[in-house]
Amino acid sequence: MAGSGTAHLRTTDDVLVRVENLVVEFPISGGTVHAVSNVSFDLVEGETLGIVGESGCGKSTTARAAIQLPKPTSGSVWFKGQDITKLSKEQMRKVRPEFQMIFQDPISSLNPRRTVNEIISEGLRVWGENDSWTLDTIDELMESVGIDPRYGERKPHQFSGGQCQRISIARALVLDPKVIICDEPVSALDVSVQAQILNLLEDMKERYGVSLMFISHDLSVVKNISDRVMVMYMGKTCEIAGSDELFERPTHHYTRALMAAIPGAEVNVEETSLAGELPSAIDPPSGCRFNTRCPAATDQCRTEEPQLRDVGVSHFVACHHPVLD
Amino acid sequence: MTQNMLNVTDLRVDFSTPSGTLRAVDGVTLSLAEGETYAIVGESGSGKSVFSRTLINLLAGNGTRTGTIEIGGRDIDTLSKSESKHFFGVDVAMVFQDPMTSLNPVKRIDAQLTEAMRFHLSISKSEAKERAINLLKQVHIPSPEQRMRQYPHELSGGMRQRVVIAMALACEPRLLIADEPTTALDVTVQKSILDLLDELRIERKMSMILVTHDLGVARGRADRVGVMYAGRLMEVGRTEELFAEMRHPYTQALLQSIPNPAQRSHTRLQPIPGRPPNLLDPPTGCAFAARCRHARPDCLESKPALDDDHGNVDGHRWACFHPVGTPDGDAALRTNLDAGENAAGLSMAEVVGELV
Repeated sequence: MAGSGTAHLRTTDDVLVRVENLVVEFPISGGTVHAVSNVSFDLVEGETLGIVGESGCGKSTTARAAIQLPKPTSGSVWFKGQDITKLSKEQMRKVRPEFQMIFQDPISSLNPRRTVNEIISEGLRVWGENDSWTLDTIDELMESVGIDPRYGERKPHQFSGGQCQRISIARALVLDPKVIICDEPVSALDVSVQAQILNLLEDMKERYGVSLMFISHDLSVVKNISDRVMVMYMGKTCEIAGSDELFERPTHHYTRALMAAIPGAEVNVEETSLAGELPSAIDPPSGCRFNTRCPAATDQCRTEEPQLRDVGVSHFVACHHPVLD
Repeated sequence: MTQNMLNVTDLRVDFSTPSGTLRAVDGVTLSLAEGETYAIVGESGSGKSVFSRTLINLLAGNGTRTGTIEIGGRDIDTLSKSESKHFFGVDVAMVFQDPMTSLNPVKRIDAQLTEAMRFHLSISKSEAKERAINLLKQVHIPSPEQRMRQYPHELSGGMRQRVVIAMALACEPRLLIADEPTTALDVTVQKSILDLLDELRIERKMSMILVTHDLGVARGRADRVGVMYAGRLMEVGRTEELFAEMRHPYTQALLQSIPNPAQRSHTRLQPIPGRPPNLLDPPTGCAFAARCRHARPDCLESKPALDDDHGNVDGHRWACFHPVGTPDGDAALRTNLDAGENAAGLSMAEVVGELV
């Protein structure tokens, strides 16, 4: 894995966001953390891109760096014909409403001292919409995410976790964004509530025409909601393919190990479980970054970094020895 | 028949709170054979953690327990004070959920591992240390001598959970209670921790109570499963049988609400409508009735018991008047569909989604 390359990027007109060779590094005492190294991906209009990987693989950092939070060390992010990494602060501020986020912990991501109305409408206040328009939009929006508009004067602690997540979704939608980054939005919720929120995200995507970047460590959830899935390991892309295609024919050894680890699932993947621990991101292994734990690693994997290449219907893998049938 | 490792009879746990009495566990009866794994599955607030903590005598100060618990043939109420001091933590031990907080951040691993051994087994420092290194080896921690001198923050989440498991195993328990042992961990790490628990259980002939909210984990790891809701067991049975022929509408709803990787992407999920009941003011009838697609008027009047008389040899039991997959249950579902709502007034359109 540990792959670079841009072979998988699409060139159609409906590409909304195109991220090329994204690198994010954090200097620390005693070295540099290579959080994201040369990751490229794109997002077409109305698409959901799932990003999966273990904790620390850089999936959140990748999505956040794409919206310049933090600014990437290098690489470019194309949105509406301009490279947003090159924008000035003020220009970037103007682009920001197009990108919104939904976070993992629904309760701590809402200000406990504000009412739901204030939380949802803050974006409108900042961007100077007039008040009458505000109230209507808020009520309609609350209705559509399944919160009774009469509860607008309540505060977050009066709602359950699932309801708070609905409020977060309404807050993200209020400025009519193009892209919503969902960072583990259902990980903190019970399974029965998780299903409600996933269904709601699908409905909202349909209704408001947004694209989603959906980050999760739960493969079943990612498969359910995504059109395309990118698997990451140690800041590199391993494999990227359509959701069904990826789960039917996982070719990267890391993808296969992840799938074999889904508890109790009937996934038809034979793969030994991963040995060892994640190597340090300060001094990542040379060649393919997965070579220290890969069952099929050879000398080539230790020296030469694999590039993403086409192995099927818009199915790309960065591996010297992928499992192909 | 061999003696059961654990017998719980009609266990109830009440908490007195400022807003009234809250019954967290309501009449749970179960038994666990030697070497068996029993999974308790439920959502948050179902009482599964209170249940597991009660088994190891970790009940909060405002809680009271009725009903009997027998561990290894001993009724825990008959233990004297000095006996119970060396019973909990020795014969029965617990692995807690969050490996980040269940270790003391300012003590080295060796101190945490040897403390319990020295207290319970009264062995010397060097002997305890030797045993601790062995334990770390058994839970597959590389270079254990080095790890012994480290602090928890120097270990990864998976490593920490292995240390927590080693601590629980230190005094060779016969019953291990694992409360969501892998919830905070990645899937690959989860798999290796569950594999480890399985391996140790077989090697030491331990029995295990595995508390989890993840039906997948229960399905893959347990011999028997109990589904808990609002403090009561709704359905219990051998794992294969329970998943093949689930009878309780709650079990079915729970399973249908989780995304299944075998389905195509964008398959519409079926959430469970509504919320669990308020346990401070529990309903008179079945606790699930308000959210249940099978609920009929009799469900609102009395609580169905977890009966034995279903004629099943394998102990598959369920607490439901109108179970899934029986003529009676089908009739109840049809009546509710025709009426457009269940007996508790829940709109059926919300429950069944587009499947009907």
